[in-house]
Amino acid sequence: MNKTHKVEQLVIATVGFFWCFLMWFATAAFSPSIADHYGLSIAALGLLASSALWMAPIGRIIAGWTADRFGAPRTFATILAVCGLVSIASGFTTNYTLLFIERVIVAIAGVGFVVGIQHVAQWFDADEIGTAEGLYAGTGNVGAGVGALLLPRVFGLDYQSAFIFLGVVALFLAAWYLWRGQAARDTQTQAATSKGAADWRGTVFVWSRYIAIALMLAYAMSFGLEIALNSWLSSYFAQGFGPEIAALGFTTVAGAQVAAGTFAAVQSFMASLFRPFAGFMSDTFQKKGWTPLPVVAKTLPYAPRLHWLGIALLLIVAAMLALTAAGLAGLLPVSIVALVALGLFISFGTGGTFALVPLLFPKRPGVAAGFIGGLSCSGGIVYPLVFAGGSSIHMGYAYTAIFLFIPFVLFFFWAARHEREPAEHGIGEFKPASE
Amino acid sequence: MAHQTTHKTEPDAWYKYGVAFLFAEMGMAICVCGYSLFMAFTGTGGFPGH
Repeated sequence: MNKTHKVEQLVIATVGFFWCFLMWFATAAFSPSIADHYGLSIAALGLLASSALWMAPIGRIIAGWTADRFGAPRTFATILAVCGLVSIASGFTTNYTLLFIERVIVAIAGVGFVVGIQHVAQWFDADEIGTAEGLYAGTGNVGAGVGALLLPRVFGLDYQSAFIFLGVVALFLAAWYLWRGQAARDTQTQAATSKGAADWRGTVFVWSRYIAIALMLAYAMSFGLEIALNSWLSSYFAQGFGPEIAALGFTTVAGAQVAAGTFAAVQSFMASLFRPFAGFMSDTFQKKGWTPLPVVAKTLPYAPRLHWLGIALLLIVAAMLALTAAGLAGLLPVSIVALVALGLFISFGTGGTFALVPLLFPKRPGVAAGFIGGLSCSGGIVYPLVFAGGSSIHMGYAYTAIFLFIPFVLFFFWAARHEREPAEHGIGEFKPASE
Repeated sequence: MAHQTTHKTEPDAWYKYGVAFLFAEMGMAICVCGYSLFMAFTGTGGFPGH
């Protein structure tokens, strides 16, 4: 084994994940150029935009299991190499159908998230796991925002060169991950995790635990909401606050797009860049032993982290209701304040969830991360349908909070009430005989 | 997660640098959001200007 340090492993995982997110959202960053080049309709453009999410749920589940079974370095390097090669190929493609298929394959890069979560979990101790996972996920998530801001400015309309550049760098990162990456801090940890993944009952065991389902719903309330808002907010502000935006001086369609996009980006920046802080707060709750919520367990070794996540979920519900109230009142500045708060609380939810996952399922961190981080992405597809389905464009947030999020929160409180081994409680008994 | 045999009372040396980095990220988020919203509410444009 190479001589290494856990911080080096954290840096490798974070850089790999950052680049994966950059490749994941590169298609969206160049949608106007691609649409212009191939003369796409609005419907075709929408299909191209949504295709980025198609592979995430199932892909993350498979990637999480693979990381446990074969180790994060080999899994992550494979993801980077395959996506990099296809990204390079897409830079030379002149047929739109082939380009579409290639970009769907490149979007598999988004599954790298759960592999890095597993990698970091195999290296860091329980008292610092929140900060470590937060730094990894928060910094990596910024790749999406950086891509949206910088790629069109650096490459202009030349999306082909951008795709080739992203692919070539991904190949170098894959080689670096294989060279310097190590799956776990010691061979015993790696062997135990690999052995756990070999038994299919272990995977079904994780999937059927109430606390795993509760964390999946918590992540759907936070990260699922974050990616849903990324695709929805620009349209919301343009349509819901058209006169108010025009009153600011943005009277043209292009100007209104800039203003609406700016308001929408606020949520994305807050949710990404505050995520490490959320992990740090989870560590702080743990060190201080804070357990302020009723019902939720108070004596578990990681009980304070459950309370921090519970608080985050309640704050998300409150911010969603505030967003609806501000919209109905027609108060654009108040709506922005509510959105800033929502982005902040979403980061609390995402950081709080993955400060818990490795602690609840220490023998199967990849399987658990794949389940929780994979299925929750469905929120990015479902919520915009609810947002757009109400009688008023402002009511969607309240409907989502009342009919989806409040039941999710109640389920979380119910699943997190056990004072001993919450992972023992679930549907059926699938625990491997070896345990 | 990495196996542990003892509860630590003091964080590792890396931790303070990690915390400093996350506070820098928070500062970056506040600055970008503040600047961007200022540009929008003054009718000047979005980040980094238009």
